[in-house]
Amino acid sequence: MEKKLKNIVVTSVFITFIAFFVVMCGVCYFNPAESSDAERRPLAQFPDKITWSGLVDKTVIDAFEDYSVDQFPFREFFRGIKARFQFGILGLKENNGLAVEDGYIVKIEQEFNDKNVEFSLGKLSAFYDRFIKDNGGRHFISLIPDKNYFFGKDYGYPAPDYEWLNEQVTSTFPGMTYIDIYNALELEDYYRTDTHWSQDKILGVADKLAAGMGISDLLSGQYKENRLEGFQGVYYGQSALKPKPDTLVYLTNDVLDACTVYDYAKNTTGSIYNFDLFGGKDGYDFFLSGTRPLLRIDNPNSTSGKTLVVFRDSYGSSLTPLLVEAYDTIYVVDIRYIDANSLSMYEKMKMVDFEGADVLFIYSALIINSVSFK
Amino acid sequence: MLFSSISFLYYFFAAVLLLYFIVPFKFKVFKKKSGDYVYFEAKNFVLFLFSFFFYFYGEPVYTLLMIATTVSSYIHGLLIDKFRGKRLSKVFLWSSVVTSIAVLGFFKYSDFFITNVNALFQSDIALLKLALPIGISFYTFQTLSYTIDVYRGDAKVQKSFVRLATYVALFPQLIAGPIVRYTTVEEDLTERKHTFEGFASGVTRFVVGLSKKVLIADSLGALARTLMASNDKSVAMYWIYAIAISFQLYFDFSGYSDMAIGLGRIFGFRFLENFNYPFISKSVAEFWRRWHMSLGTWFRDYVYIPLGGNRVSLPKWIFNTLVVWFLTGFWHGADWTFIIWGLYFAAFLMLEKFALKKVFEKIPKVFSHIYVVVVILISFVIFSANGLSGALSDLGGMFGAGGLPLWSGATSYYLSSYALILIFALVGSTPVVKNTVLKLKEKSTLGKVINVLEPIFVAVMLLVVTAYFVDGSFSPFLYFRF
Repeated sequence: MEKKLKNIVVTSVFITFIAFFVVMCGVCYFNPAESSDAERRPLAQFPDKITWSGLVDKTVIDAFEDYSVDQFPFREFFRGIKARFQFGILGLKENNGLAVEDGYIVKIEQEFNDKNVEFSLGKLSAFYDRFIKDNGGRHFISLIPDKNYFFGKDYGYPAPDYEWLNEQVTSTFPGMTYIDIYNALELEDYYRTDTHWSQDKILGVADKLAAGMGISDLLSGQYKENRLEGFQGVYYGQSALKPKPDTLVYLTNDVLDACTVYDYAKNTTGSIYNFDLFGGKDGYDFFLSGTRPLLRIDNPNSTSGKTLVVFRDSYGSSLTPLLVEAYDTIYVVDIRYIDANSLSMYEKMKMVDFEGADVLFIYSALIINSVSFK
Repeated sequence: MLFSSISFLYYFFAAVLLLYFIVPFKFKVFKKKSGDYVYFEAKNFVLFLFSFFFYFYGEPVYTLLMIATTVSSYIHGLLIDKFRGKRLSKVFLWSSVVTSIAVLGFFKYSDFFITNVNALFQSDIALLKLALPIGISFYTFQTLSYTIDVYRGDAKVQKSFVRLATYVALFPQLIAGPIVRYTTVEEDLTERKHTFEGFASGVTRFVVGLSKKVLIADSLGALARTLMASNDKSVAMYWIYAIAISFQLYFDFSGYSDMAIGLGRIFGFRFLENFNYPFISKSVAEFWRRWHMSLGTWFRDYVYIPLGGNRVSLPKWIFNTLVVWFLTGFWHGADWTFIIWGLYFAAFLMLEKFALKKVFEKIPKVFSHIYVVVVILISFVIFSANGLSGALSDLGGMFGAGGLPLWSGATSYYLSSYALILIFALVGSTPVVKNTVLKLKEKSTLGKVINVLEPIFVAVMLLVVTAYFVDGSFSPFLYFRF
């Protein structure tokens, strides 16, 4: 190509490129997307009001900046290009903090945030002192390692100091029996596209907990595996790489089928698994209806006369059903969504009864390392 | 507004391109009694309006300050010219210089002086806590160069306010340089050519700069931040940090200069180069002839030479050198680290003049190159440090203070992760790619192939940087704070 022609082509390519996306931005202005399924967040909209004061204090300008990025045409296509360029051309091991190896997508953390850990354990401690310490029951605590713990070991990525975290947990709760479940887990026990573990892979964890809690004899460990295809975990969209979706596996038996789950906040009764929520924004909400503040599982087939209180996060949603056989009643508390006063109100109204109950605190390192608790 | 943003590329720039190329350069407004026509310079006016909007978008509150600075320069220029040859001309020159320096001093250095006065005299003067107007150091130096050049007779006074305001506010170089002298664009403001060649070379240069900033500088910035936040530090990690921030500064600032030069070309302006592969230098003096050349030549022409340059006694030369490098450091920021950074270079320039120059002539060039690289890496660690104590801590880390291990697991991880980018940066900081392309272009067949590849390169890189914008790879240019 001659130089003169090249100059015309470069000019034309540039102008066409810009013009095309300007037109597409116009199309997006008239048809703005409400939210991003991949990122699980609402997208910024065009500023409501353009006022002089808003321009001067830059609120309108900042809002427009957010809008221009969030409502750019072919957003997911571009996010995919960026991810592939980061990994494929620049050779980076992470994109937006996510690493990918053999289909496993993992959020890489270098270290725990000691302030966040202190905050989380402080909150848990406050609940323990107020509701549990003097209930006359047995108290257990366990920590769920994030999959970056195993991923780091298997693929040579950094992982935070879990030994340190365990020490923080055990020293904060000297009155609770710590049950170590680390060696009952491996990377394959977690979903490839999600942060969570797969229920069918944590029977060993349930065994460990049962042994620690002295309820092994009450668990049959016999379940039927059921599958739901097309589970897109939290990292599925975040990675922007369109990986192969996971298959969500859930376990059933006659005992679990007969259980009822009472939701205090909604005042409704349902079952262990909520099929309506599988197709929602977070498929893992399938287990115990996801992020519910306070639930009570009633097991009509139990003759143990025992009650369990589980303080948990979403990992506990899939684990708790595996302990159900040993208890008449299981209270499931998620202190990310219920504060101490609300829980106290239920207690005063005799709607919950923790007296003499076994208590299990089971949290993922991910949650302990964040500011999630109320 | 950042060049590396959706709002710039697909809103602002698209609008200014459309309007700029629709309107004629100028058109007749009316005929004067003398028979001459009064023209309206439409293209300049479009640039003037959009440039002010560009500044307003990034710094609404201080837009008036920039307009006031422009008006001040305009009036001072007229007065200097009107009283040319008379004492008043010099008075107005000094008035212009003092006004510009006072504005810069007030907005940029007030709190620095107050802090030091408080520390020195145990006083308790309240800090003003003024936000630093974006680009004030750049446009102040530009307006200073204008009035000084008019006084010296190096530039003709500009009687059109729109032309002068277009020069001061010209958005490609407004907020992060290069420091474009009035004399550089004097002709272009009056008459400039718009050609496919200018537009295409401007586009390619702009896209190259954008890619340098978004793909390399920002990635290395992320590496530098991560390394400093790591709890698994090592001596090697501090050196990788030094390399990362040095390349980050280079690719960020030279990338911005590329974009400015490219945008200028698109609109028919010819800005001078601001960088010339500084990392290949074999002396600190050479480094500064290749790094931020518009600032170096500004200090040379408006401070160093007026002080007497190097045609003075040795003590006076040492004094002149210290003054220039004190000011160079201070220009970069109101903090002692920047002053020390400037004086650090003064020390090496003197050392080279008195001793090292002779040594370098006798030893293989590779040693002088290694010397420059080490001096520069250390300088940028000081430059990027969080205060003096931070600089000491970072430098201590580079030399194993506090019993740091030589290597750590995190060092291996980050080095392996960023190895390719560091290699890209290393190669990109030398003229290897440029020279290779130029050589290949000389051969007719390969030259034609490169001509085919250029528009593909432009399209692909635009696609990739847009992907980075969309995914939120947002980070302000480092030189905005100067």
